[in-house]
Amino acid sequence: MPAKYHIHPKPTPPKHKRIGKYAIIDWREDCSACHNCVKRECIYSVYNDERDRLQKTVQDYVDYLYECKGCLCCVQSCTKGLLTQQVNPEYLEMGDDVWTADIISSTWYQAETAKVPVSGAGYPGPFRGPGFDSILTDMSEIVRPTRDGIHGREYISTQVDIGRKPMKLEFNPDGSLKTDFPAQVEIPLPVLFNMMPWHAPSVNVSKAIVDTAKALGTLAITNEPKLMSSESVIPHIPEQAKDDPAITARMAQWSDCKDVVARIKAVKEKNPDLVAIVRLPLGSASIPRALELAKQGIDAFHVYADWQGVVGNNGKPQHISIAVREIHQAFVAAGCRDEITLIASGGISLAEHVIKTLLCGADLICADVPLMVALECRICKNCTKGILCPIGLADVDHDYAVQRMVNLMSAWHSQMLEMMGAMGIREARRLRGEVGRAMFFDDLERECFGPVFGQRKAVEA
Amino acid sequence: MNKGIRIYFCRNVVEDGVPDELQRLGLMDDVALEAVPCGGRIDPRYLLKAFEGGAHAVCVLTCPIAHCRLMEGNLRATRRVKLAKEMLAEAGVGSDSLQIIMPSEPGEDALMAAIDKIARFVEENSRAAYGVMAR
Repeated sequence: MPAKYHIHPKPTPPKHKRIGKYAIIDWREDCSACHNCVKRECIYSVYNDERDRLQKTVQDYVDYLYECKGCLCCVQSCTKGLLTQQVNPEYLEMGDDVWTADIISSTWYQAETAKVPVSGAGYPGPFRGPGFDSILTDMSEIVRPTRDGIHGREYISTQVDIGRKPMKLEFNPDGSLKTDFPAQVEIPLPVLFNMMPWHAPSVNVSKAIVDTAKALGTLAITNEPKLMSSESVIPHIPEQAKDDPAITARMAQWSDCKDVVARIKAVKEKNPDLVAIVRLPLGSASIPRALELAKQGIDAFHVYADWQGVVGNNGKPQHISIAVREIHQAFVAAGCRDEITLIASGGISLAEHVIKTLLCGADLICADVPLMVALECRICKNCTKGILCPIGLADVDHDYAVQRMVNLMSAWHSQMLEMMGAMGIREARRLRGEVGRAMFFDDLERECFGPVFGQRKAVEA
Repeated sequence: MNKGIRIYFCRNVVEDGVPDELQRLGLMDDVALEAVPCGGRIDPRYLLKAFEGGAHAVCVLTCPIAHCRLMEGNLRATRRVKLAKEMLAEAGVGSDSLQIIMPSEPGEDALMAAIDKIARFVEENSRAAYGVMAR
């Protein structure tokens, strides 16, 4: 039996001051010094840490101001009502509607501890939202202990294959295999690392990403010439560039262009074991092109939305989950879905988004911005405006960066195992297009309430 | 690195974002800017700790009187600064090196005037310490 896939995380504290969410303000002058003070009962030891820091350190003693986890236990229990909770405005300013402050904060936690994030105050949000939040997964097998995610006895595999698969096998009269088996690459995690969507990171950061991919057994797409010799690299070849890096690589990615098929064929003559990926924008306009390329023998497609998961789609914006479903169904209708590999990227920020993208029809995903967030990026986008990066990302320490990204992927892997265990799925390969394990809120609403209430109408603000 | 001048400012007084003038002060080599969730979060221990950590001047910026979001955070900050001043005086440190500054009224103009006062405080204390502006 092959060894189980295991990632080796290590707690890696942040190098910069964290932006926390909650702070507690107390009117200490009115305190009657109860012997059962609620501050002693804080399960997160926030007050004890504050006291210790004040006693033991001379610097950074106000860094714990926003360490409160927001359980409200002390605020509710103080007998004199002296404690008040405040939300940090700086926290609320972080990110945007898609990359929310909670997602950034949760990613920092995962990159630091490699643990599955659990909310101290329960789940305070709505049960439905835009984008990935409108997809619910069917956890109908959550009570099955042997298949219980991380701790279950049954092995849950997250391995996926990239490359063309034959639709049937043919045998010679003597029983030997006649079918030429096309080149494939197996990776133990349904996650590749992508190039950054809004800026080219420094060589330092790109090298850390490639080394993280190596540590995890996956691959990183890059166009950085200095890193092309690494075995964990998928060279990205733009339209005007030479095909040289693909001659020695296991996999290579081309931007779509008129002569892309001829270029790939020319490279494959020199490197027959190459798995060729063509990068296409998501949207209904790209589907005929993808089908045409699939007929001409392209192995895999990297379909992408913008970094917020939005697909332009000729002026009718679509979420990546819907666009992936469309292209997946188009391949199914054309009868060639099993032959090709579909890689999706854009707006995937949490482990649950990986699973949901796979359920919508992708074979695997490309992660990009979460890797930067793991290195404490705040998505302020100063780098795009030429303003100083508040965390000096370009000069990040290599070992620290690799370990933070490994930790994040370890946390994602654990969450994927938990979700797959709960869904009763033992293979990441089986997640592809398994919409039977997903519930789309809009579809449910239309089917259940549509006949009674009619179509949902947009409410004006 | 220990900074010579520490400025604690209430987050609510700069609700629409930290003004450039204040941020510029924070970029000076010898000045540390620390945002606190409310003036009422200022603890005498922070103030004393700042001096213990090598600061020679500390300044607190809070909301105008009667405009604290938590009703009395700025009043409590005033009392705590007063307490810390008394303790500093006992320890032989000049009480002028600790100041609390409040805008006279809500609004941007009063806030800018308060930030000007902080800038003067920084300048005076930089000169007092080094004889030159700490840039």
